[in-house]
Amino acid sequence: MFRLNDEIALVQTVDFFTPIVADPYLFGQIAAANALSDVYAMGGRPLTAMNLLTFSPAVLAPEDAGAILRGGADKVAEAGAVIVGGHTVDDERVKYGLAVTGIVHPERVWTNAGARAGDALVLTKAVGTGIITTAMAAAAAPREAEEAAIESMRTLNERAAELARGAPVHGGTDITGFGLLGHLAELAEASRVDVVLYAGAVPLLPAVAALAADGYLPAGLYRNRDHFGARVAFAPDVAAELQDILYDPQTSGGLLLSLPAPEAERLAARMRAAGLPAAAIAKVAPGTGKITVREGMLS
Amino acid sequence: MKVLDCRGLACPEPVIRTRAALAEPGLNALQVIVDNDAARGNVTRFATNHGWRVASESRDGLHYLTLTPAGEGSASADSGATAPAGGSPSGQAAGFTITCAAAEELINEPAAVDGSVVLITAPVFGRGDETLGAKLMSSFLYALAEAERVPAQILFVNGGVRITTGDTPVKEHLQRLSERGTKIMSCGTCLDYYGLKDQLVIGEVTNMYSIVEACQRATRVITL
Repeated sequence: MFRLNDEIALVQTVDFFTPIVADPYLFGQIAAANALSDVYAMGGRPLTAMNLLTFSPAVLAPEDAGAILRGGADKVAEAGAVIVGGHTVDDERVKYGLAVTGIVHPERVWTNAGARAGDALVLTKAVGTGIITTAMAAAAAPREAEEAAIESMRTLNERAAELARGAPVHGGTDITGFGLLGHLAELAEASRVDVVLYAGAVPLLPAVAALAADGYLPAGLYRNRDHFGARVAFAPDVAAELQDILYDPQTSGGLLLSLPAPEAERLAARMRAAGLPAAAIAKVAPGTGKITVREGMLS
Repeated sequence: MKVLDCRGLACPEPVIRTRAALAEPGLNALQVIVDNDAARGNVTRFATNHGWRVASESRDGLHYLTLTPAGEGSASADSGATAPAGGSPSGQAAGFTITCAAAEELINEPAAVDGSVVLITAPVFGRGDETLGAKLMSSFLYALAEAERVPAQILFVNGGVRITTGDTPVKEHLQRLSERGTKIMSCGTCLDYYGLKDQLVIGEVTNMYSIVEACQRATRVITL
């Protein structure tokens, strides 16, 4: 974040990755929604974006490269931002993403250090894209799960951020590679609080539990568990598959927003009324960065 | 005991290979060798979930997973992996190793396609007996479709378009290639000349400019 004056701060973010779906247009949309998400997670609005694309004509036909860029451009337009340029590099491996610039009011920036005891956390998308895309690569994902994951990944966090701006949000982040538990642990540490996560309240994509039980877990999930496991304690009744899912690295995951508990319930309800799969999933308590995962719903 | 060597393979490849190996009828034990925790966890889960008991032993940075049926008649058979119902043919007991190829992060990933172009100018492979030639063409395309890396494009010109049209015996192989990312292109002039334009059953129609461009851009061109 770079403060320009008392009213405006610049937020800049960049993200790009290799294809996770076969359709180039959908891949472009997902990569763009993912890159734009960081700006929304900071409470900002995207203004401009620049394409980053690597491919070689030997591995990707020019029309498919065009479809990736079209997917990205459509998402950027949907976000109300404009593409102002970009750069293409010859590479055997296809990668696409965007560098995004946005603005935010310097006094209203959401960070993961803003959660306070007495808050509840709202998650705005269902979890499980890492497991489903792994199963897709093994041709083991049911169509319903595949479609739901793609739809979720290409959905902008814009609407969720817009609804959240009307609520007293103390802080937040977006859920990406570290998985829900990794990002929760980072938030708890940065905010110097403890978090109690209610596993039964976490919205899940279809078939995720069955695919997790079958071993379609991305390598990143194991890394997340190794890295964050020491800070997380599970109640004995939380099923093994569910524990895995909570560490599943997400592509273009939802926002995780911290606000006073009663407000959190109301915000989640407003989001659901707007068609988002949002839920209040965790409580924030005084503490030192520990995460406890319980079975059941937050009450 | 049959051994599946999955060293160097990234997820979900070890599960895909274990799934395929366990689907073989009459299998009574399988050893899977993996070199990372994610593969160990995933193969263990898959096998356990499909009615196999997994014993794991780790040494020298490798994990040796021994899969045996979970118990008397308790092996649940379902899609993807079938546990044996009873004893297995003893002739299969002699140990042999299936060596997995180098790691590909994702199947159907563009990296499985290399930069080569195959130019097919006749419906048969080589000069000589036509029946043999047709057979050879079919097995060439089959082997190509199963190769670790498939070509970026296959261009069918002149008599070559006879095997992308009508009742072609190689449609299945071309479909597999297409699914793996190879572009199947037939020369439009050639289709016209032989009156096959409306009989194309796989791939797309191309022209000489695109054929020239494809050949010039290719890392190598293999002409049949």
